[in-house]
Amino acid sequence: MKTYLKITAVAAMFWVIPMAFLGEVSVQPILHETIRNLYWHVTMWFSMFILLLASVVHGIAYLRHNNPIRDEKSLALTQVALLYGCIGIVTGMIWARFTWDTFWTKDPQLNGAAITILAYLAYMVLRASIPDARKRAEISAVYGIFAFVLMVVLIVILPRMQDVDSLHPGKGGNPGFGNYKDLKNDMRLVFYPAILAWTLLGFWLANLSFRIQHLTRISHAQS
Amino acid sequence: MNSLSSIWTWMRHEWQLELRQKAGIQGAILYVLVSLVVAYQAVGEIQESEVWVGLLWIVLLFSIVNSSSRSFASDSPGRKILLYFWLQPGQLILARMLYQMAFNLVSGCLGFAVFCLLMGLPGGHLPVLLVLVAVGSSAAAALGTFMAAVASVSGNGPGLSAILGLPLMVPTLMAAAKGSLFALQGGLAQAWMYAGMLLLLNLLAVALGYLLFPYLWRE
Repeated sequence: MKTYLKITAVAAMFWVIPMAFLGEVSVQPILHETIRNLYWHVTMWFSMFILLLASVVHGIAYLRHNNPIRDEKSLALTQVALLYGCIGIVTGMIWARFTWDTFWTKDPQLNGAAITILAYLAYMVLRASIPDARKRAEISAVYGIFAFVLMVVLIVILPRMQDVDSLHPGKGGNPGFGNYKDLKNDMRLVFYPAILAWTLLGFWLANLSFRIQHLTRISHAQS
Repeated sequence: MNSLSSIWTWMRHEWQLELRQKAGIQGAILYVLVSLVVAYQAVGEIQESEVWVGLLWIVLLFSIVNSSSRSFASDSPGRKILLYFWLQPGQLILARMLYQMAFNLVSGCLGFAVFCLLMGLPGGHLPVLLVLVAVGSSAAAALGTFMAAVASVSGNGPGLSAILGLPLMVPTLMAAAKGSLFALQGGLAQAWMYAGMLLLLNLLAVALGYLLFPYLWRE
């Protein structure tokens, strides 16, 4: 990973983390101060999605050129995406407890997120079940592409069907994110850098994880 | 044209094999019937449409998982080599997916009929319900078939295909259940919209299977 990207990530976090806790936020009924979770919870999903997309790109590249490095990268990105997904669920549950008065509810987006995580846990099971490295890479790349396309279609389209009742903003008659700002303190100035920061951090984590796994594999091959 | 006719030939071949080894078909029918009876014993006749829809799709889901996970399980190593030289991978996956989709479409509709017989039908528009059962079952069957292929190539038994397939089938079933609920409660326009979406899902699953299967099959 390029150094300037790491510097960008750290710089963005130095801006985002203090601002997330201390910055001025728009005042909304029911939400009040919990609106700060916007910088943690919502951004996690954006980052997870970008990481999974990158993982699929590596999967496709693996199928084209059969370079095992691509498979290792794809795996590392998926692992980090799964971690982000779990953080997203937990932060979402905390948020839901304080605004909707329940940890879990029958909301299409909650269930979509849970299913995505289940599908990628199945991806891990699939990987663990294949001893041969080349076969594992091939099959998990195919599964990864298949799962990603289906999940994107269903997670992105299903909750947006007009009739779906959702407690999330912008759906089921709730005000969208566009209402969460007023001229004085525009929350997007923190929200977008937060997406950038967590995404870059995710790539960084994935990169480190990939390098550790790669070195482990090489040293096993040599010994 | 040639490849289309060989897909058709292979689908007929699958059907003949199924007829010859009766265990498969009988097992699938018995599985649906037993799960229906269990559901009936547990719940009895249902008045609430949410419960009705949920139970219907759970029963259908398990019968689909059961029958589609068989589709690659009975290939002996020798038969795999034969298939490898005989058919192009795209033809093989298309033939098996389409066969399973047709099979589950029919068995889903039959299961639906028995379900209505036992549990009663709490109102609703029957044609759109039937269409939803048909397209929902075939979409889930297409996904299940592809997962059976993945499990088979990975050297694991059909057990893995259920683990892989279930999470991927859940959104399909959510859409199908939601559409059925609209059909029961009189939201016909929405029910047809969900049916259309499930039809698109069928196409998407087939297209993805056709594109990706050659990479699985190149051992």
